[in-house]
Amino acid sequence: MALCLKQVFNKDKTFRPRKKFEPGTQRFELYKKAQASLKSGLDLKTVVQLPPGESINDWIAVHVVDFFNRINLIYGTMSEYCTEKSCPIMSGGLKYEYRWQDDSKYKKPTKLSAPQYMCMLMDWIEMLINNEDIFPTRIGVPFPKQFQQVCTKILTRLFRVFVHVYIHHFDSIINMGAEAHVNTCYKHFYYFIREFSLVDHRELEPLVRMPQ
Amino acid sequence: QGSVDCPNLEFEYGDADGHGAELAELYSYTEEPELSTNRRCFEEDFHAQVQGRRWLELDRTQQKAYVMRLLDGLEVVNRDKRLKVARAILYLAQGVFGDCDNEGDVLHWSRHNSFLLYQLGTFTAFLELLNMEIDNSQACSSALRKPAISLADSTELRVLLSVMYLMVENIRVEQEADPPEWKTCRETFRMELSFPVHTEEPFALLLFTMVTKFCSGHAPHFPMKKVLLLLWKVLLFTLGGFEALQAMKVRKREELGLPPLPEDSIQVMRSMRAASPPTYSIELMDQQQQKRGHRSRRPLMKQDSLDIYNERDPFKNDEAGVDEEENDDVDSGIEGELDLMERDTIIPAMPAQRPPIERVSFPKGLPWAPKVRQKDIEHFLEASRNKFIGFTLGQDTETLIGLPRPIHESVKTLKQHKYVSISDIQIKNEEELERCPMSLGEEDVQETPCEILYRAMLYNLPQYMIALLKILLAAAPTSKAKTDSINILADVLPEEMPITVLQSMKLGIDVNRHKEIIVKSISALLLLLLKHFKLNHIYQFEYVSQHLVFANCIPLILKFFNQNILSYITAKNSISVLDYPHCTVCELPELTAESLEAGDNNQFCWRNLFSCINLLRILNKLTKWKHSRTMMLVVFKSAPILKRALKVKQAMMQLYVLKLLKIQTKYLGRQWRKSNMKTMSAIYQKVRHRMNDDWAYGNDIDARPWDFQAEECTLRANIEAFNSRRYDKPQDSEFAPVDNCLQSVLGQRLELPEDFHYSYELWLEREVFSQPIRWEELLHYQ
Repeated sequence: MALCLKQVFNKDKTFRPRKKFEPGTQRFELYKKAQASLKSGLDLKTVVQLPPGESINDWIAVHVVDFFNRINLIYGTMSEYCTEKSCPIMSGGLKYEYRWQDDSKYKKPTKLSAPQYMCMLMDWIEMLINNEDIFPTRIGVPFPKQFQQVCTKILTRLFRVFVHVYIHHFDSIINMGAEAHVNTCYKHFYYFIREFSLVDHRELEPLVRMPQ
Repeated sequence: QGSVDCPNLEFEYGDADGHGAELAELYSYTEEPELSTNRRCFEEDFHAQVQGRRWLELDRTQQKAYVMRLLDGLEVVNRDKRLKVARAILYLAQGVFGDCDNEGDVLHWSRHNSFLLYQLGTFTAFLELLNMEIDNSQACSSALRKPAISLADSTELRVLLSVMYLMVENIRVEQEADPPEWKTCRETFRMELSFPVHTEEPFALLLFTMVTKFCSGHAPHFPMKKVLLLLWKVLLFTLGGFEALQAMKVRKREELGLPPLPEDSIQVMRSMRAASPPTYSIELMDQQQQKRGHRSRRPLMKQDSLDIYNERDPFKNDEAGVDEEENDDVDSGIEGELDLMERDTIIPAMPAQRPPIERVSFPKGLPWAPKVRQKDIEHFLEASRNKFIGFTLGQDTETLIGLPRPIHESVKTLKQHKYVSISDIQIKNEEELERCPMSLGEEDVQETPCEILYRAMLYNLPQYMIALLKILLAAAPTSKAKTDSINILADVLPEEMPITVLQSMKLGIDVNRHKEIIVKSISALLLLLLKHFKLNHIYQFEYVSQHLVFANCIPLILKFFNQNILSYITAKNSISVLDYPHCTVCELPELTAESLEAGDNNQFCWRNLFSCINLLRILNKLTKWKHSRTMMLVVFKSAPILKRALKVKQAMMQLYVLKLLKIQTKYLGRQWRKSNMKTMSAIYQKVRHRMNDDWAYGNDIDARPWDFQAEECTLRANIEAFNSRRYDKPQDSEFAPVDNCLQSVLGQRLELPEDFHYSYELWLEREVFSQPIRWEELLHYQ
């Protein structure tokens, strides 16, 4: 509880639970839609486990890039509905708000609109991924020591995309009939980050009622 | 920007338009008065010879006799008299329309007379006349001196070419009711055009020469539209159309022992439906509905839609289970929306045909089986070996030791979809022939019409390509006439320029139509050449492609598409009452400005849509698998131009646009992909997948530019090696055979000095017997 309050009042954190919150009628609808998934015959829980002989950094790296690409496309499918007007701040429901911070223009956590946040986020991830020092592509070049921390940060922020999409734009996803796809991608993502404990459980709070 | 809502276009692609349409396009509207002139020339002579009867009433022998007389009349020295006779013959080929009641009759007699004329040797006679006209330097120089060339300057040529065109086009098209002697006629004509007896070269070459002569400025009076139409049809006739190409390809694969093609591409494309971006939501909703298994509603489109995240393994059986229970309230909401959409759509549901697959069944919903190249498997294995083992094995695709199980499975899957093309085999053969010229001996080259054509074209091929592109550029709607060095309108402009508004409008339409037909013939003949050469030998195709690329074909085609494509496709540059054969049998109504503007009732312009598809296909062929040329597409910023072309709701055209976009997506960046999800979906849905192809996610923004030159240079070297090996006379080479037959060597005359027969014994002793034979010198390299 104390931890929660600290979060609320800590302006240096980019993740702030919103001060007001509403009971979960929206959440309940979400619950029903979240049942839909692709029947792929793949058990995502086992699929994310590190295969024998595989290096863990390699495994994580490949998944980070893959999730980045897929989430980018997911956002793309409904990006026309996510505008400055519809989402003036990057939020995960009425309770959670995300602010952007990086090492260049936004040294302090700043409130950005959802499209702006997404743009910054994707550019930032892309820059990291293309950085040979962090994501080396040549065989034999080792990963940096802080690699898993970098990935944690990337995956944490990617998680926020899911939060925003699920809470604010799921109706568009439904209109496109893509909920099964998004759900499956989310499931895969969720199992992956749980398997390797890559995202802090507090960040997972906004979607904690999602059936797994 | 044209109408946003383009209806689905009912367009059937083929070798050419309908028979009547093709014949109509031979003539410009300015030429229309000449139809009566032709009739007059015929009737004057005919009524003098055969009184009181009509051509249709004569029996075959009498018709033959008359034609023979006419042909004799061609041999006069007087040019004007010759022209009159030629016009009479043209009237025959046009169907003696003066005696016909309706269009059907005209076309029937046109065909009948064409066969008759051919059987009596008319084509050969006209070929001689054509040669004479081409070499007529007087006509050339007088044309050059004129400030403004009009169609009067090409009168003779137009008559000659029209007769030849009518013969080729009428005989080329098979009809079911054809008598067997006509079938033989067709084969003979095809042979005559493909395998020249009297001349060294096939007839097509003469027409290519006309094109280059025109472009060089030496013969500005040549009627290019007719030349190009004739060239196109001659190539179509002698080489074969798309269906023939497909059959040849199937046969050739059998001969080479290759597995059959995974699908019949012509069939697949016929059954593809256009993607309509605004109704993208419909496709996915329909997909969703199908998944729920509702039978009550007739689905809008059977083709499954985007499934980027579908992790379903296509090689496992479909899930037999039922989906989890859905809340009905939710469903009805969506179905209600589905109702509204359904009413708006015009598209009827048509199940996409799934051709039977022998080897592996590919995912439902995708029209094309995935393909894998041998080198894709090699690269995949090399990367895996590098990672897991640390060293590579070159082109070995069998050794899987030391690699984890998932890699084994991947290789198995890749191999299941391996596709070896005829080109792959030809390239390998060529490598071997280059490496072992002695042991493999002379290559056994089949003398097909295509091979003969290539051999004849080889020497001047670059010039032919440059000339064709020059004309194409001049005829493109986006080009400005004044800057061109060539005047392609010489054979459509009347001698006297129009004075009334109506005349101007008519000429305007005529000029546009003229240019459209030129674009049509060039686009069709280039595509035919590329396809036939590719099948014949890949390096022949590469030779032509390289010259097209060096002549800036890629930016030319992109420039062509950088216009309002929708309005080009729906252009109405025709005056149907003036079209042949309608104008020959019906009363010409009063033309008004309104009727000219209204045009015809067609949904779209067949020839323009045909041209667009051809140009897209050519662009695809030039850029496929060529990194340097794909980068040209990126550098020329072709993506927005191509996207605009997607507005045309015709499946085949969209397919070729999507293919061009697919090869670029990995260079366009994440931002482009994110904002063009609908296009990405359409690519996924309609274009063949290449396994391990990172088209959707790859991010090679800075592709290595220094590789481009190297790629084209290597290709050029291979092409030159091929051409010189197959076609150059063997020069002073190491491999020229040495005569070591004792008889022939002894039989040669040698100049010996006078006193040799006295001193030869001494000579022998000194020069031969006492010289030691140093055998080891055979092993020394000289």
